[in-house]
This record gives sequence, C-alpha cells and structure tokens, in this order.
Amino acid sequence: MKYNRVLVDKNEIISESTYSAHYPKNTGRYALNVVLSGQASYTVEKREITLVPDSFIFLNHDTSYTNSIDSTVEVNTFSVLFDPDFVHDFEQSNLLQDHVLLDQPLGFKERDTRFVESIYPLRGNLKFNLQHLAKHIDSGVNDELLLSEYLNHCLANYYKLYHSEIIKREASLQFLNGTTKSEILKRLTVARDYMISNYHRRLRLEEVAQVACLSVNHLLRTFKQAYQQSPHQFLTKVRLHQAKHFLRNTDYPINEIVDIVGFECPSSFIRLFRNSFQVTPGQYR
Amino acid sequence: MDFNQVYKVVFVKCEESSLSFFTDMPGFILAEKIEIEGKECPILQSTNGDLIMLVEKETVEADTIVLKTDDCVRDYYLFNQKSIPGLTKPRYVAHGLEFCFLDPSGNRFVLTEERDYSEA
Repeated sequence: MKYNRVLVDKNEIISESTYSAHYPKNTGRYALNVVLSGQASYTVEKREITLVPDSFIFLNHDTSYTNSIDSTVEVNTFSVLFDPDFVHDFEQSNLLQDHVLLDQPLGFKERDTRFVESIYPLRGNLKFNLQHLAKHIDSGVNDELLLSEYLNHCLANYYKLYHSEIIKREASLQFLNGTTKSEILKRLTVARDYMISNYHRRLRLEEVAQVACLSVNHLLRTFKQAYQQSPHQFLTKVRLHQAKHFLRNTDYPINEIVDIVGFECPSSFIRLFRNSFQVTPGQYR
Repeated sequence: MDFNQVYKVVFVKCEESSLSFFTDMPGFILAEKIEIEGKECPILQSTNGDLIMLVEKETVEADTIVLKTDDCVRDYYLFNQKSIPGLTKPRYVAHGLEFCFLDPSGNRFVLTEERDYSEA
C-alpha cells in the first residue's frame, strides 16, 4: 500500500507498507526517510546503509541514492521530500533575525545548504510531529497549509537535532583546524552508520575503522571525544534499543531476539538490558 | 450536571460575547448552561474533554487557564485561520508543545500538548 502526495510547494509526502520495492537514483530534493518497522536498504553515493525500525536519515538534495526493500515481514516507511526552495525559505525565515530580513528581503543568494548525512534514532518532537502528520494523511486530510505546518515543524526539529548531533559534536573534537573537525566528524558518522546498519553482525573494530578511513586508534580516540562513549558501547546501545523494539512489537522468544540483535549469550544480554533500562527484558515485554 | 467533572471557572466581562467567541473557535462546544445565584453560566467543552464554566463578573482580573490538547500544531493552525487575538506561535517546552491566546476578557489561555519523551 502506498500513499503519495505532492503538495503545492513541491514538497512530497510518501507513506508505504510493502514487502518489496526498489527506487533507483532518487535526487533533487532533501529527503527525510523514516523506517517505522522492518528494514530498508539505501545506497547513498557509494555507502550501503540499512535503516532499522524507528530510525531515519536526512539526505541532501544533490545526493543520488537508491532505496530498496526486500523483506519477509511488512516494512512501513514514511518519507518527506523537501523542495530546496522550501528549505531555503525556511532557513531565511527561521534562522535570520527579523531586522536582517527587513533590510534585505530579496538580497540573499540561495545558499546551497548541505548536511552531514547520518542515521538518527527517531524520537522526541520529530517523532511526535511525524506521527501527527501520518495520522492526518491516513485520515485523508487535504488541507495543504496544515500539512505544510507540520513539515515546517519537522524541519525545525531536524535543525535542532542536527545542531546537537553534528555542530556541537564537531565542536567537541579536540582539533584546532575547523576543516579537520568537519572531516573527522564526517568519518565518524560513517563509522556510526556502519555500526547501525550492521548491528546484528559480529563487527570487528578494524572493519569499522577501515570503512571510516580512520586508524583504529584514531577512531577510538575521536569517537570518544565526539560521542562520550566507545564504539563498542555505542554498538551495545544500538543492539539494546533494537531488542526493545523486538520485545515491544513481536512475540519472538528472548533467545531468538538475543541472536537477531547480535548478542552472543542471553545472560549477558539480560544483564546489559537490566543495567540500561532498570527492568529485565521479560518485565519490559 | 455531572458533579464528578472538574470545571475550570473563567471569569468574563460579558457572558454573551465570551460565549460567542468560544463557540466560534474550533474545538469548543457549548455543553450545557447552568444557573448559579440567578445567573446563567455556560459550560464549554473542548475536544479534549476539558470543561470551562464562564461566569460573568463586573470586574475581571485576567487569569491564566491551561487546557490540554492532543495536537498543538493542528490547533494553532485552526486558531490562526480564525485570527484569534493574542495568538502566539507554538513553542517547545520541557513537557511538550504549547501556545497561548487571549479571550475577550483578557484571560490568557495556554493550550498544551503533553508529550512523553521517555519512550519517544
């Protein structure tokens, strides 16, 4: 089942539930791609990315990407494609001060905003606003201005998240040169996305470092600076959150979930789960 | 009249104009009218179930009334279409999202959407 709606401001909202799909070479608009259940694969430039449930990626308008779904369980996805002019207007009206806009209402050249593309967990206000938007789409709301109001909020939520996840983390890296900071953070997000995409596999640190084009020591040191945790701690958190998703949304036995999310033994999984969430997996379920 | 319900009493300068203001607003309906000390007091119900009792008073000190909603963005949009006075843009707060508007008596209404961020 697919819902697809192009708004008058050229933004597009797509909601899809499917077992199989393939969309090659998407480009031209900023894309907020969310997976609500199941998994979807993305090829972003040369990177292979897997979006797991309750996660999203925001892709730039000039990024060419392919997304595909091939699953035995139904995959629910939700995408918002933002027209570059809409994003530009949003930036002008929200990020510039009123007196600047009044002095130079037409005086700004279009900035080619590019974001560091990375996978984020879908939570907080963005999740709530997307849920409201999806609810209105499901109930057949046709008021485009109302739908655009949600898109504005979603964009504002993304900018806030981007500021805390990229700008602040970039600043926390202990390098003098700003360009070095940006480049290191880009590579760290590649490492992070690789761990999220392959969380169910047994990953070696060397493999993650190689994908990110960093040495193991460099990865360990800079990852800790940016995210205040080691790559291993990060991977464990991703696995635990996925386990939570499976506990909440499936009736798989706990042993099976342990296996699916990549833990080696149930006892260490239960211990880690209890330490992180103060309840056992059974109690959580 | 259900005495188990909690009514938010709002003092207004003119019952008639306040009633017409609220019933013209999206999301409010006139639930019933009750008589208190010889005065007719309308009771309004919001879509979220909040009950507001309008009580006319000669001198009104503007008050702040907090109402709940399940969707702040939608309500702000609908209120904005109606050009409600004193309408502020929704702002994100620790417990969710909220915006304000003023009624004809100067009372400040805060419409708040509580969001549970613990699981979100």
